Amino acid sequence: MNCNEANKQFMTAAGLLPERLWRAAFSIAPEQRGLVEEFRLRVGRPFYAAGAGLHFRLADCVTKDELDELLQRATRSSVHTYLEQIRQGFLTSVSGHRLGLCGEASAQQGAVFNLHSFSSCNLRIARQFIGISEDLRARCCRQGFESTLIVAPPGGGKTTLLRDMARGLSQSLTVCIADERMEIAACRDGEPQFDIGLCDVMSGGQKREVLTMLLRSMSPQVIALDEITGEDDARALIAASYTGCRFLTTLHARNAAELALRPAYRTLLKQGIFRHIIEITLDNGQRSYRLLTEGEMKDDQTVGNDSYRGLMLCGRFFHEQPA
Amino acid sequence: MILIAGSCSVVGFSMNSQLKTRVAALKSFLGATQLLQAEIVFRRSPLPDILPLIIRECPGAAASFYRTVLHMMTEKGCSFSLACDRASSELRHFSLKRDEIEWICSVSHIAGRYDAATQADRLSGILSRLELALRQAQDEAGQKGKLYRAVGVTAGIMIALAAV
Repeated sequence: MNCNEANKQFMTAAGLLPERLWRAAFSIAPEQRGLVEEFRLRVGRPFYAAGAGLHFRLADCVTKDELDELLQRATRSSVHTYLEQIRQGFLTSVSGHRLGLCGEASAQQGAVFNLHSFSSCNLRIARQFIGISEDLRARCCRQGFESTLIVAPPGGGKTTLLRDMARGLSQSLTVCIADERMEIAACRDGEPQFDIGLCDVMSGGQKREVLTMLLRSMSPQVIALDEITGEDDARALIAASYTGCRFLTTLHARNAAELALRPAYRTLLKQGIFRHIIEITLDNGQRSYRLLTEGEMKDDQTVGNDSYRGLMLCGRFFHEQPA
Repeated sequence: MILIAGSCSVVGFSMNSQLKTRVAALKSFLGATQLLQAEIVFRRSPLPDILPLIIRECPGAAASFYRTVLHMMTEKGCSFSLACDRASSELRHFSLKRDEIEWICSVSHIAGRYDAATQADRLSGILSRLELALRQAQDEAGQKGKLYRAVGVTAGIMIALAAV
């Protein structure tokens, strides 16, 4: 993403803020605006921006009215359109920026029915870096594309990488995007706000239903989708894998070793759904990528070898692929 | 003499025209509210996408009012309720009664604030009030319209004759 595009994204995100905070956001020097990854608003506490290891204190106490105004703008005064997302604690604005929400949850029949009385939120600025996945994509496609999981901590750039990989893959394969959170393509009136190449996009809807719809209607070779969280989603993915379709998805985790801690992913790993794992690590705002590919363990690896790095997950061996 | 008769007739015709304007405005807002309800319930469309539809499909008072609202939302970043509050002064030009203006404005405190089912329920209440108001306005226009015209013309002639 060049400086102009980064500034444009900064401006569209800041444009959602109420006037006082919007003016405060523009107190950041133009050359630093591209570094900002999110705005933090907490009622009764200062307004911050953060990114690349930097923190900017931009204004004094955020008021409840300002938070409500931000929500009105992000929902385009249409709570009914975004209610399903609000229930899940976030909503995606028309430019693809994600607003994470904290407030009081109303429960009904054991499930969160609605969120209200919002106390804080973070506005994550959507970024697009075209071409960042080229090397990783080439390595994943050496023997044809196989299902790939992108693992990173929050703010690690999973969606950005997934979007670019989907865009690149769509040049040679039929790729569909199941964009439940509307972050990958951020479609508005059917038009993606990001460059997603030749991908077909199904926005909103639950993954398990959308996967079936896409398989039935679009004959995809690859389906890109955001994080698999529940066992229902995992089961849907396994069922869809029998059709020969490959997947590209993401997971919130510090590293690949944490995969085995999650029941849904243990099931997926045992089924051998993923052949590649891309691990993104963040160090002082710098991202580094590590590709692990499933394969058999060799003798010298069993006894240990300084140059060898890999890990065993649910009985499957993943070897680090050299860049 | 002609001037006196003419001006009295104009007053009569003008009062008749106000009644017709009110009927047309209520019809327009009734259609707009029905469309709003349908879009919210069946398509979950956001309000900035519904308003251009209303402007296109419901010509007259509703189109004019919601055009101003949409302008305030898109150009000035106002929320729907704030934009409706600011544009409400425009409603006085359509010969509507005060309570009818209040019902129309109350749409802004419902639309976009709740889940679709709640909005549908509350908008149904407004729709039935608007329907009733429209029937009353039509009856009034039917009964009083001709009367105002006749009284205007007759009064004009009478005053003119009296002046002579």
